[in-house]
Amino acid sequence: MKKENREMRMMDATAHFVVRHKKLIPLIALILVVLSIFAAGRIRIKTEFKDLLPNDNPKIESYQEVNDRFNGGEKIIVVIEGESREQMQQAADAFASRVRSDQKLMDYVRALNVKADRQFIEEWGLLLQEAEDLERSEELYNSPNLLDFMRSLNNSMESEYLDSDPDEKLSNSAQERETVELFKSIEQFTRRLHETLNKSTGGGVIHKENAGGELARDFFLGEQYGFSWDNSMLLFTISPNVTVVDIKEGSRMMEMVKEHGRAVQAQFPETSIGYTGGVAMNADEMDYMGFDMVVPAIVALVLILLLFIASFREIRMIILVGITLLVGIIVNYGLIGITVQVITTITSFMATLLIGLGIDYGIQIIGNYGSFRSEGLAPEEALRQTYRRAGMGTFLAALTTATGFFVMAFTGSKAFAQFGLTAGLGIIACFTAMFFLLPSLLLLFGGKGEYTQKKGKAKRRGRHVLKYAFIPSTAGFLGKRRGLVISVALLLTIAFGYSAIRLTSFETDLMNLEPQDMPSIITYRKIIETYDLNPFTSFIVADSPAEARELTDQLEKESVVAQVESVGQLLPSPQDQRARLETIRDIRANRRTYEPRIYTASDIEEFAYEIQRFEWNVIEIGQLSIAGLGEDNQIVKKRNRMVHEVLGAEVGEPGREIFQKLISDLTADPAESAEKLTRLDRSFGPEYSRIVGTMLQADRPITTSDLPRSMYREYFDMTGEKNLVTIYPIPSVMDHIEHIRHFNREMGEISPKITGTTQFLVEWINEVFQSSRNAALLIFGVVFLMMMLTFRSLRYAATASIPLVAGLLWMLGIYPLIGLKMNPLNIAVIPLVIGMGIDFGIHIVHRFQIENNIYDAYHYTGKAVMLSGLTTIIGFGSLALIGTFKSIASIGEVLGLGIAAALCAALFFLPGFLGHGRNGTRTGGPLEARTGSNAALHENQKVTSDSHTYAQEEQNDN
Amino acid sequence: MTTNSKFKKIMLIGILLTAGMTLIGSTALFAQSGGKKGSDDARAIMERVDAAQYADSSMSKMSMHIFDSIHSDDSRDYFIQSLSRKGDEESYMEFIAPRSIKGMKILSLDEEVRVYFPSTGRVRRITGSGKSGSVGGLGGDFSYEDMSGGDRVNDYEFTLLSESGSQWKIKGIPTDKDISYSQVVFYIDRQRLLPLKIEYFTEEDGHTKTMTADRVEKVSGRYTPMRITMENHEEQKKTVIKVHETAFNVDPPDRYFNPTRFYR
Repeated sequence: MKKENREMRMMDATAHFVVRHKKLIPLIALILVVLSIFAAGRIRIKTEFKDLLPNDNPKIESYQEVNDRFNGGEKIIVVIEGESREQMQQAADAFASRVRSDQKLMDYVRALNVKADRQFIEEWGLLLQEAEDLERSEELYNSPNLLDFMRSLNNSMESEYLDSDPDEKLSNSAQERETVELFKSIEQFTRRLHETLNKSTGGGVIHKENAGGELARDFFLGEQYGFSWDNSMLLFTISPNVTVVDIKEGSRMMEMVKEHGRAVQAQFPETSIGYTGGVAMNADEMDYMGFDMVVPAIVALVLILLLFIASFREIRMIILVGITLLVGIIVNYGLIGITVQVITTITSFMATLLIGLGIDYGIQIIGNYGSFRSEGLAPEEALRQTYRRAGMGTFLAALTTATGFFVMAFTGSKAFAQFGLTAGLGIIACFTAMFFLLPSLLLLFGGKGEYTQKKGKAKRRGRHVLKYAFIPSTAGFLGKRRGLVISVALLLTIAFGYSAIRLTSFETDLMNLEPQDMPSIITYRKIIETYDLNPFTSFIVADSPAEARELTDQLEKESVVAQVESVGQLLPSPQDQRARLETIRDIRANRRTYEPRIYTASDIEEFAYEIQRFEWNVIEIGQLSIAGLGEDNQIVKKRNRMVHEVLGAEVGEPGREIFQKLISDLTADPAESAEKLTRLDRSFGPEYSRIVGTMLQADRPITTSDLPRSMYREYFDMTGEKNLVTIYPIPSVMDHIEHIRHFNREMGEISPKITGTTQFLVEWINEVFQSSRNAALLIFGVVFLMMMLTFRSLRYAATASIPLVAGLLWMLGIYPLIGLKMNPLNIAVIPLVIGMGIDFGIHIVHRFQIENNIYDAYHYTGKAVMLSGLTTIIGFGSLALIGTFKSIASIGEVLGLGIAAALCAALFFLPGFLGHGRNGTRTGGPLEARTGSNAALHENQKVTSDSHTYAQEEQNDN
Repeated sequence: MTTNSKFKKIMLIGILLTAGMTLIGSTALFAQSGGKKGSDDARAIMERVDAAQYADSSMSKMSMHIFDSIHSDDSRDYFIQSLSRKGDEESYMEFIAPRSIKGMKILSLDEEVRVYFPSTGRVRRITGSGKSGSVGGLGGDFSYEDMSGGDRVNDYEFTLLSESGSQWKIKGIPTDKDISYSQVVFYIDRQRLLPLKIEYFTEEDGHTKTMTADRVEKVSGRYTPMRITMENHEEQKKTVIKVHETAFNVDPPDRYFNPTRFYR
């Protein structure tokens, strides 16, 4: 009794304090709100997996070097789409020109690579080819006449791809890309040849003296722009000079880039421009994250207010609860600004979480206060009784939840610790607001004279409200059918448990967790589809070009790697360069000079044959590529576009038939074609000779000082000592967690220093499984301990856990059944279901322990439990339904579904486990005497019932 | 470039799976006399297994299903029919599916591989055929070493690890430096003289691959697994070969082995 008296005295003192300082408390709250708004300005939003990992994680440490030396290594990928290659090219040039002339933007730019540097290729291109390839192509460098050149090209293709070891040419992504580039060169060569000859019909070739020169440049210097295989897309990159972790600066840069993009698009209206890559995505995420942090919370708040209006008579009080909750949430963000200063993806829904949980404390206060006021008590006395009845219970409930969150700090995970601290502080902030501010607001604005006494009973206003009378009657009904209820509950639990074990799938494609209408995601998907590579890059900092070369050689052999960008590709080893220089010297020594050729009608037949050989070779290379790369590879796609779909001996979907059309035009009038070719040859030959001559001038190894400035800046850090190797995985790497693990294993075998998104993801997944389990055990342990202290009975503690355990299993079982997948983020919040879902069982079992009657237990607790559950479900449901980030919405799904399942289990199955008790009787005697020291914990529930009067309670207490 | 492993890989399917199901076939003769007590030493057992696999000629219809991930149900599927004679010295095969390479024919004869492309009507001749490389030319996980059993008895030193009621477990350590494995472990069905499982190990990666053979049927008097699965633990991929129809010691028409007529 002493303890209970002490609690009563504490609550009386609190009531006295609030009554005395009822004006000061709102003032302090206002000051705190203002200070919190300022403090919240220090919060940084971090949305990447690396932000969830501890700084001493080896992958984070490796990334730190990438970040320090190369600003995170990320690039802005600019994609221009259009129908016309020329327009896309012009748009890219205009874009680059605008960016370069914007000094403010250029301060943010480390490198801008819009097109290949032809001068570099002309000077050093031959040194970048294998000595073997050079030897095989010797004939090609000695064929300055068009016909000879085409014959040599065919011979070279057949020798390389068809007559010897095509396996080494058509088995991996790098070879696939290289072959597509060859096809693109042939396509461009054939297309330009056709155009030139067609134009010459009107004398075009005579006036266009440089046509043959362009032909030669196109072929030898290759594609200058990053066109896709189908020429529907042009891609280039901007490397930022600001660190990728500085999202604010990145967003500022993106805004400037987009401004130029808009101007270019206005200039070339038939093109469209998109952006992706880490910086672009971060900027987009900032916009969308703002929505997810605010809108679902507002919607939840409105819905909860509507629910309250339907459930409580006193609208004024409901508004005051809303205001108080808002204060609690703002103060929480202020506390975050002072403490962890960071909001990550898994803490971004904190406002919604607090709306769901914080409102519960308000329910207890206004429920009791309203009831006491309706009984005719004066505001101050009603408040005193409210503290007496609901104060300690609410305090203990908040303490339990906050402790549950705080213990997450002991999971050993930075992210979980941040979440636990943030949520724990939030609970304390909301509870404090509800405990002190709300009562003072009730005293100030809660109304004074609306309640009158009539014949000893309170006269109430006439507005109809929901009474939730079905809850106790249903519980009573189910309590009498224990066997049936337990059987159904067990069956459902087993079925959902089976579904949880067998059907649960895991989403590892991070892009599926982003808002799908985010522009950078749309562009990202286009790149994956068109370029067949995944922009989720990994990185490694190499200490020297030699190390970069070694790494590149190993990486390019990996089947899981789509593309490698490295200075090692531009600076071959000294040994290789020596061998190549020797071959180049030999070719140079035997070089043929150009002699003009006069084509005859019979030459046209040979010319047409070589074009036909182009087609055959392209078709056959495509056929062979299917063995190693599958039917859907880019070589086949490119071939089908250039020629037609090949189905064995049959023709499938039509293509452009570029070779047949050229043959047809050429052979229509052989004499005229011969004349045109003679002219074309005269401009082709000299330019060919000039380019090949320049290429063959290479007589020393390439050094770093020969690299174009933009390339150098792309690969080397400011000191010039270290260089960056960027690794693009194949798209399917992200399809399955085991694929990611496999990719990381392969990368780890090459070098443990390789780091990047896939590495962070796996590190996080490893951590999240372990930490979620730890957090679940810790939270459950703390909560169970609190229940044991409250109930002083293992049986009741275990029974109170039933809704939680069943709810958890049901949630995990229902989740895959409705087509949802667990992911690396929502799995982290499963432990929270324990912290929140346990409340229902505690309230009901506690009341049953007091009443020993199922109807009464639900009669007194049902409405509060229902409202608490509904508010939480609304909070998370709004997140699940409105959240634009699938990751955040999925957190809402897990928590909303988990709480809904626990609520259902508490309302409809727990009665079966509790039984009906002493039917029709109501226990008497002082509450404290019946329930021990924690009896007051949920005593407040009874006063929320409309049918139960304060007078009855007073009688009981006496 | 070096050798024509691409074609060799493609050919291997025809050669090795029909010319005697090299690793996994056995003759009726050996099947009947098999299970010759545990006193057999490992080498003798392997000689018997190899001998049991030999067939002078064969024909087969089969499919190869390449899974780029052991966790995926999606596969690249190739359907092939093949003929062989003189053991595995001469072989012919034709792609039935996928549609894009339907009708592509490959003849392996006198150390040369000829490929006929129905889409262009051309035959291309490829010279040289090393024994390294993988059947992964089709993206599969069977390497030439995995499939070729001809010299296995001489290329490995065998140890009998255990002998249970129904199987021998034999370890093979390569004596040939060119063999990429450090160790191969065979689980041989004693009754049918048929390796039902083979584990492949390398120095660098340990246990890298496992081949399993099942759906064993008696064809032309020999036990023949109609499904062979190779799981590549290193690359997390797998390849499944299904034999739909097969016959041994058949007499294939000469025209299929004639370089000027095989594609007609």
